[in-house]
Formats: sequence, structure tokens, C-alpha cells
Amino acid sequence: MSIRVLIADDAAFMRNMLRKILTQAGYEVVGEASTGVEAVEKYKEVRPHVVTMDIVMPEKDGIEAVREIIEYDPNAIIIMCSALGQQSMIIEAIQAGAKDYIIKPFQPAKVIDTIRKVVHRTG
Amino acid sequence: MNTRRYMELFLEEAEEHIQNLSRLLVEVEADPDNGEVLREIFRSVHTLKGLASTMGFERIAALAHAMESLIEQMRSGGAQHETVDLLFEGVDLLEEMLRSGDVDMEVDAFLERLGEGRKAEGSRRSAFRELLSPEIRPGYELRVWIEEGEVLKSVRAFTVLKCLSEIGYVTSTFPEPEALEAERFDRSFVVRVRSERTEDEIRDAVETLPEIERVEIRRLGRSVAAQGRQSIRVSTSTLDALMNITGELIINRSVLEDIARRWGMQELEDALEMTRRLTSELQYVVMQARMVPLEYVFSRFPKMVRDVARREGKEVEFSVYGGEIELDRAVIDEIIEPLVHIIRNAVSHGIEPPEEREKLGKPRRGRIVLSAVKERDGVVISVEDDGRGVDLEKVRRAAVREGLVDEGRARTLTREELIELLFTPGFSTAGRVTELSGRGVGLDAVKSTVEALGGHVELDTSAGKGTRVSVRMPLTMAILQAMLFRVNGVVCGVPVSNVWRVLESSEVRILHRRKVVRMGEELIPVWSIFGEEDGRYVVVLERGAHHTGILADEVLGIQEVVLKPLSGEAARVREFSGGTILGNGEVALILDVGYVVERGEEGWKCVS
Repeated sequence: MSIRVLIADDAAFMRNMLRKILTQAGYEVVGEASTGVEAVEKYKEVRPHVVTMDIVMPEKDGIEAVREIIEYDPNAIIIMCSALGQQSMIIEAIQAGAKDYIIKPFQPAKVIDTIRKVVHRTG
Repeated sequence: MNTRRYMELFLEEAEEHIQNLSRLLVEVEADPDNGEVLREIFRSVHTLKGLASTMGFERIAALAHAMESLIEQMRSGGAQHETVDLLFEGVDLLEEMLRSGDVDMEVDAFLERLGEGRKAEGSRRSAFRELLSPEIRPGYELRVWIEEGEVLKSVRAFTVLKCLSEIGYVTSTFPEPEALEAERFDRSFVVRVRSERTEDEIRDAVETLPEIERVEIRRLGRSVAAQGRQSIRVSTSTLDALMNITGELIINRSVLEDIARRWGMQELEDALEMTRRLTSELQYVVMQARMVPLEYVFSRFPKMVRDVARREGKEVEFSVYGGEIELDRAVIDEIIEPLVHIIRNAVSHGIEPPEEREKLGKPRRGRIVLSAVKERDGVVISVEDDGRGVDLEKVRRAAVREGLVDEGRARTLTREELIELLFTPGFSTAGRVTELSGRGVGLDAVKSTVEALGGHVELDTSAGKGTRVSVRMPLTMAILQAMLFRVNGVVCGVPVSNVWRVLESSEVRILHRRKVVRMGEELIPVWSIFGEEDGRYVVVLERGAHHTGILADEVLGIQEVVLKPLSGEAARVREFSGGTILGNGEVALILDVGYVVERGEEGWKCVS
């Protein structure tokens, strides 16, 4: 069974790019969300194995979304997507329960390596 | 990934964000305390940055990043008129870059102004320190290497600490959690933990994290020496003899190589290739046999610190890192004295009495960290305390009082020069003399011992915050890579690690009747070792941050040499630290770089 992923990012552009990277690596993208609120709703609806979560999103930011998802499912595997220069926000997200992070601009090999390792660890 | 296809989508989305930003900035100008609008502005700029860097538009991304940092600060302190103006200007620039298609437009000047608009970051409680449980005794020590090229080393370090705190207790880190957070470390750091898991389980937990290159783990509490190595006792004189014979063998090898080269004997050269491999292997093994873990020295210090602290009514938490690093026996023996001195200094002069610390808002117990870190071809041993530090203004006044400099000169002394003064014989700034430290036997003794071993001492201090003394030592002393050159017919050598540049002597200028070369902003004194000779080349030597050039007629190349002590008359010449016999039987003199550079600078100070 392939790994099911939910992508949360407010930029359609980023979502497309991630979808392409993930699909090519054999993952199944089971949903997309463009706001924090949507991310939480979609999570409950599709129950993915992994969420890639942007930090800065409208309505509810990624960190808050992580808190709510972890509250709902403490075993959720959430990987933050962040740009350089946001160390403190990633750390906050990890404190809130995110498992790891990937850095924009995305390097396909790194993205896949990170997801693979995190899924394997929590396997 | 081919991003060209995304260009249209990018421009469309970017345009939208820019429109959005202009509207929001107008709003925030009217209502500066509206947090929601600021958040929205931040989001827009942030998304724009992500889009731009994905497309490879570095300038746009850099601009957006700088704006983002500025907004982040506004979020905590409210929007000022000037900052909003700056942001407007930024948006205009972004728009221009996108409209004109000139994505590499020069924006540095604007970036600088944005930087000035940014205030210093406020302090907040460190998320890193929160993960520590310092009161628990650690059971393991891990050294973790982060993969080369990882861009957020601090966050990666955080995930390591987080991971370890989930399977045990993290008791301390080296460097300190704050330094990890500020990314003040190279690629590796040390973590101490207590855990019920096995060594393999702990290593596995960290090693399977993304972007971790490798992890070394060892059990604490048992000394490295006691970790059941198969060993026998060998007297040091036997080791020294072995070392000498190896040295002779290397010299003999180069004699043969020289003959083969001179007579063009290909067959002999081929045969020597094997000899070369075997001798370097032999050399390595002999070196290994002489290596001793620093723990042999370090293990004596906890008790010493406790004793001194008790006698002086101080409370000190003393931690030691890097005891597993190995050094040549000869270096180890000599390093004890200087370290004893530096550590005693830290306890008696550095750490304040507990009551005084409390008044200053510091924890009652002072902290002293003794650590060893391996570098390219040496080891750096540092002693760091969080005590009172050295008040450099006091040093300035004391220098005048002790007659080391006159008042006019004292006023112009730089920070580095004031620190340098601490190493002057007999110089002491301690307000009182304690039983053990101070009293003239100061840092000068440390310095001369360390330098005699080919090492180097550095001191960094901050009044009220603490002092760090670092001793840089070569791993071994006897065999070194030397650059050889001919001066006045004599072959001289210097350790390659001390050679900064080699220049043509046509670059030498005369200034105040002194020879100098200019490297960028720096004027480097040039001198002739044997007096009046000239040369075609200037070999610029480097010692710490100091440089001095020496004239040479011919540069002969780089070679491995075995350093031997000089005897008789030659031993009294300060410029040379030793000699060596080259393959062709010629004798080469090895320069004492510390002395040569110091002398070069002194000569220079006289006229400047």
C-alpha cells in the first residue's frame, strides 16, 4: 500500500510542485488544503499517513493547525514546509508535535528522503 | 525540476500578492496596531518569497526575506510610519522587478536600509534549554555529525535533542544549548543523556533522523583507559627510540629518492614507491602507539576544581568534554602545567563568590567547561567560565601603572592589544592575591610553555560574562609538513600550516625605512633572517591573526621533514626551533614561526 499524503500550502504553485515530487516517488496525494482550517478538516476526513504543512497560511497558520491535528490524533505524522530564516517557527511547530521539516525551495531528493525517514522511524 | 513551465503561474500569483500588499499597507498605515492586517502582510510577503526562491529568483527572494524580517518585528512592536514607508518602497521595487523582467536588479542598497530599520531581536526563553534536565547524571555521551550542506543546522540540532528527550533525559550539550540555537557550531556537537535504552538503540534513534551523517556514542563513568583494551606496557624510551628510527628511515628514504631522481633510475623509483607506502604506514603506527587519550590529564581536574573551590568558598559546576581525543604523549605531558594554571585561574579569579553571583542575577554555582575539540591537524583545548571576565579598561590603567606603556599609547590600545598585555610577564589585574593563582606566574608562563610545544594560546573575555582561554596544540611534534626555501644559500623551512602566501619580492615597498608588502588593507612587515640579504620571493607567515614576511632567494617546495633539536651554537639562535636532514644530505633549519612573527611585528611597531 502506498503512503497517503495530505498537502497543506496556500500557494497553488507549491502544492503542484509537491504533488509532482510526491507522485513521482510513488506516494499517493489524497488531499490538498490551502488554509490551516482546511488542513485540520481534511485531516479528519481523509486520515492521511503524512501531512506536509506550510507554516504561513491564511485563516489559521500551520503551527496552530499542527496543534489541533495532534490533539485529534497524537500519532499524526506532520512535516513542516518552511523557508530559510524561520528557525524559531519550525522549532515552535516541532514543540507542538510536528515530526520534521523540509526547506523551500524544495529539493525533490531531500523531500523524499525526509518523508521516508520520518515514516520509517515512526513506522 | 524544469521551472519554466511554472513561469506563467508564478507571475500571475506574484502579481496578485503585490496588489494585495499595496492595499494592506494602506490599511496598516491608517490602523498601525491592527495585528490581523500585519499577519496578512507577512503571509503575502512570505508566500512571495517562497515562490521566488523556487523559481531561482534570488534577488526577489532576498528582498522579500528582508521585508519579512522587518514585518515580524513590527508584529511585536506595532507599525511605525518609517517602517511602513520602507515596506511601500519594497513593494514598488518588487513590482518593478517583475514588470520589467529584470529579476537580477541591484537591490543591495535598499536591503541595507531595511536592515537598519530592523531592531535587535529581543531575548526569549530558549526552547533548546527547556529540553535539558541538568540535575540528572548522564549515562552516555553522543557526538552527532550533521550532513554537509544542511541549511538549518540549529533546527536539526533541536530535532536531535527532542528525539533524545523522548527516549531519556538530555543533561547537557556542548557547545551550550544557546550556541546550538544560534548555530555557533561546525558540523558536530556533543549531547549527554541518561536513558534506559541500549547504546545501539540510542544511536539508531538519532542516526535515522533526516540529515544526520553519523553518531558516535560512548558510555560515561568508565574512563576511556579502562574500556578493556588489549594492551601491554611499553616504556616511553622504547617508544622514543622507535620514533627516532622511523624518522631516520624516512630521511634515508628521501636520500634514495633523491638519487633515483638525479640519475633518472625509473626502476629504483618504482621500488621506492612501495618503501614510501610502508614507511608512511610505519610512521602512522608509531604515532598511534604514542597517542594517549586526553582523559589521562583531564581526569585529575574535577578533584582539583573541587578542592580549590572549597578553599575559596566558591561553588562551581565543572564539566569536561572531549577526553577521548588522543594526543602525542610528549604533548600530553607538557600540557598539564598550563592547564592546571588556566583552570585554577578560572576558579579563583573568574568565578565570583556565590553571594556576589546572586546579587548579579547569576546562578549561585559558577560554570567551568573544559573541552577538547579536534581540528585539521591539531587539538584545541579550551577552558571557559561564566565568571566576572577581565575588565579591559582595568588592564589599560594597570598597563600604565606598571610602566608597560605610556598614557598616550595606552589610550590607543585596541582590544586585541589589551588582551595581548595579559600575556606579558608579571602582569596581573587581580585585585587581591590568592593562595594559588595570580602573583605574577601568570598567563605568560602558560604562553611560553605552549609555544615551546609549537602551540598557540588565545584568550577571549567579556567583563561580567566570563573568559575563555583556548590552547591550540599540534597532534604530534616530531614530523611535520614543511615548506622549504633557500635564503643566502641556507635551506630554511616552516610548517606549511603557517605559510599564508608567497609573493614576488617586486611587491616590497619601503615605508619609514622599513620593508613592507601590502595585502589589501594590511601592511605586512618584511625582514631578512640573516641580516641584509635580498631575495626574489617573500614568504608571508601567519600566526593567529599576525603576519610577517621573510625574504627568500628560491622556493624549494613542500616536504615531510623530521624535526630534530638543534645543538651547540645553533640552539641559541632564537629564530630556529630545530633542524632536519634532507634527502640530499643538506641540513635545513626550521624557523620558530612564533618568534619570527613576533619579531617582525615588534620591529614594525617601533616605527609606526
